[in-house]
Amino acid sequence: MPFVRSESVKEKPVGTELSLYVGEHRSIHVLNPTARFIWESLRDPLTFDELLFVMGEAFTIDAATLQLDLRETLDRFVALGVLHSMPDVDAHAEA
Amino acid sequence: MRTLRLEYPKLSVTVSVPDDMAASFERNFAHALSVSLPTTAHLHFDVRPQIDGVSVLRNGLLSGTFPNATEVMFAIEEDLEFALIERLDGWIGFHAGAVTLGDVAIVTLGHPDTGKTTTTLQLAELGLPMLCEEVTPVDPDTRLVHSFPHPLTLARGYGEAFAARYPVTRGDLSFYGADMARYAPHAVRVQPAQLGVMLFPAYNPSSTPAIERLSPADVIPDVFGYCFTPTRGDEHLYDSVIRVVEQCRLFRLHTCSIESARTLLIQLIADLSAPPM
Repeated sequence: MPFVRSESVKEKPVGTELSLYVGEHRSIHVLNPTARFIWESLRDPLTFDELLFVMGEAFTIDAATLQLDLRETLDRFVALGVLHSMPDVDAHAEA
Repeated sequence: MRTLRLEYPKLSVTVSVPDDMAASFERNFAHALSVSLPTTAHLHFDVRPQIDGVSVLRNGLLSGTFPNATEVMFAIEEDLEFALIERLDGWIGFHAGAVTLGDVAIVTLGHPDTGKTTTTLQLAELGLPMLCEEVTPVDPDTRLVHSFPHPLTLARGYGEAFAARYPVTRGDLSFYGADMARYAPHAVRVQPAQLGVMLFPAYNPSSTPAIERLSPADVIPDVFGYCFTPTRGDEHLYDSVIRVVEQCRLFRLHTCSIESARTLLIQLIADLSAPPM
């Protein structure tokens, strides 16, 4: 089930960091390094396993911690309206 | 009847009041009173005494009846805040207070009950002219903070506690009913001043007093939340807030008492006044 960036999200740098504006929720979030890596990796939709592989290449963290970080970040992104998973996209398209 | 003319950024107002109420209205709106030749007002308030109170017509339509002239002034103040917010267009409207140190505007932002208004009061009592209360309008292209200087409204308990500790010398502190105090500063800056400092008070009775330097990334999500809903859309506001915040020095004030807040603010003013190293 690929994760996709929400269309209402805009990004802007804040100093050396990256912020996201989520139009749906009228909110701004500044990303930590892990969240930023995941956001930038999702220029194209990727599944959890694909993201895990990409992160494994970039970070020297044990697999269990990496998996936990990724799951937490994705859950948070979805809750904040930053991302959604592909079935949501299909549902929106049908609507 | 007397007609008072009030000038705010992007907002011209006339208020017609009975002669016996005119003096108190002039005092309350002293720093916005204008003697310039009348032009078209965006808003006109007509204050009329009634048997059961005082009614207010807003652009010819009854907006409310109040028990006394004081309540009318408070209601008009609130109405003016909304009217200004509606007219901000591409400007940012911070829910904040502001004072000036030299030509630099210091804006105090925060959620309710974190010490926003009390910080503004303390800064005014430390000699910094007030610039804005409640609504702080900022032009993001110039970073100029425009004056919106109404009296401060704060909890009566705080006003009494402050006055018991320090002589109130740079403004008039008065009390209304069981809960409310108002502080009208003597010194107000009516010319715009460039935004240079943002303060974020954090009152916690069990905290250790400290001034914490912050980065734009630390505060941008919160600052966005302290903005009034813009007329030109959120994306413009998002861009504007980042541009403005990145140019400011940002500080969180961890305070635990009236005294600790005063000590930190004296230290902060000294630091900000010192020439750059």
